[in-house]
Amino acid sequence: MKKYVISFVLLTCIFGFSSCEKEELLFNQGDIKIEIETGEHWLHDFPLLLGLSKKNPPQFAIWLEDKYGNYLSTVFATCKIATEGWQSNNGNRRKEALPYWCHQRGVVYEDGLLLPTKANPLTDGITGATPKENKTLLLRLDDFTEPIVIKAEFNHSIDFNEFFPENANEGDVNYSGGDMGSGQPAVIYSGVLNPGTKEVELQIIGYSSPDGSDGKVYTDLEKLTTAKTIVGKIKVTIE
Amino acid sequence: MKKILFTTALFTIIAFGVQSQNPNQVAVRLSFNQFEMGYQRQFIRQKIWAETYIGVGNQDINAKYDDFVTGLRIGRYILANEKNALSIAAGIGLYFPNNHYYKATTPVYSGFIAYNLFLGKSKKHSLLANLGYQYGKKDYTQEYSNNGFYAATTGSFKVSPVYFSLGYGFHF
Repeated sequence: MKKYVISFVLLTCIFGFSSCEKEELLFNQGDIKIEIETGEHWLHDFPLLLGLSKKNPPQFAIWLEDKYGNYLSTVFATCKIATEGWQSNNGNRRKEALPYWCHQRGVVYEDGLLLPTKANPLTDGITGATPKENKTLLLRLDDFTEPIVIKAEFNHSIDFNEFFPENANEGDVNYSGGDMGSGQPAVIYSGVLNPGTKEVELQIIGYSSPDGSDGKVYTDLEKLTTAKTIVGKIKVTIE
Repeated sequence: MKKILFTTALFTIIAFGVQSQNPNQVAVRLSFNQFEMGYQRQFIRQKIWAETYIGVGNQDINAKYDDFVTGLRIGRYILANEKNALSIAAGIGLYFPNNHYYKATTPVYSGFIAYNLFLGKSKKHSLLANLGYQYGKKDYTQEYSNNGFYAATTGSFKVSPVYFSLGYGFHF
């Protein structure tokens, strides 16, 4: 009996030591650190059933553009948007999720939409689990002699407010995908990183199309409420 | 205080007194995130049981039931009679997420209450319920590179903390 208990405890300790290792990013000189700090409304209540809800983090994408506004590559995108990994969406592709990023990429998929599909998921950039906490990314550019634009777009689903209500009708300017749509549209952050700059903070520049029908940036931010505090801060630092 | 001591002693005697005629059990269990099959054996005068299990889960990034789970559980009966058996148990296992995005083989530790409801007089069949807590967390790194840049980030894979399963056991 003692032998079994000792073996069990030893096995537990061995497993315990192996799971305690924390992964850390190793930054070299010249590497770019992108730190996303969560805001007050990073987690959003998503209703399940019987009055229960779960806290969902937002879908988001971070990408690079050149100084002329041409899309270069995605750095990171959350899994649901990158792989059409929506659950219980009944075939709804959710084109209102991150429309600015989709239009900037300009990749048209088999159904004519600009969103990655299950069959053709995102291949440029890291596809990752949606974090519930702060997120850090390492970026290392082969040639950083020209300014680079870093952009990010964040969106919660069913995040309604008085300007983007649940009962808006398709075709209305504030229609955002219906009762399982976005509610408040995705918010867009942008910052220009110049060679020689040590640090820059991305600023909110507007929101994207509420129903996902175009790739414009809308700047009347007074219509957004909790969407403006999904993100606390996005800091970009050159090590 | 005397009542607590007496009750504890009574339950201990009851647990010691029950001798199962069927010390082996094969079981299937279903929880919200996992399906598993296990083999359990009683020993030390049927006061202690040990179980090994394998199964599939869906707790990783793609939410498909294609992750692999395995582990070992040890329990001790705290209450047992002809129809019911209640145990406290602990387990260690491994969760293998299966996806294209990261590798994060995760040790999982659990502590739970296990309940058997025996069906019929032969005690060959039982309904099973486990309820408790489990902890499993593993950090991982993801990388991407193309013509022009390299990107990396870290993430954490965590198993659901609540462990609740229902199942069926066959005793022999």
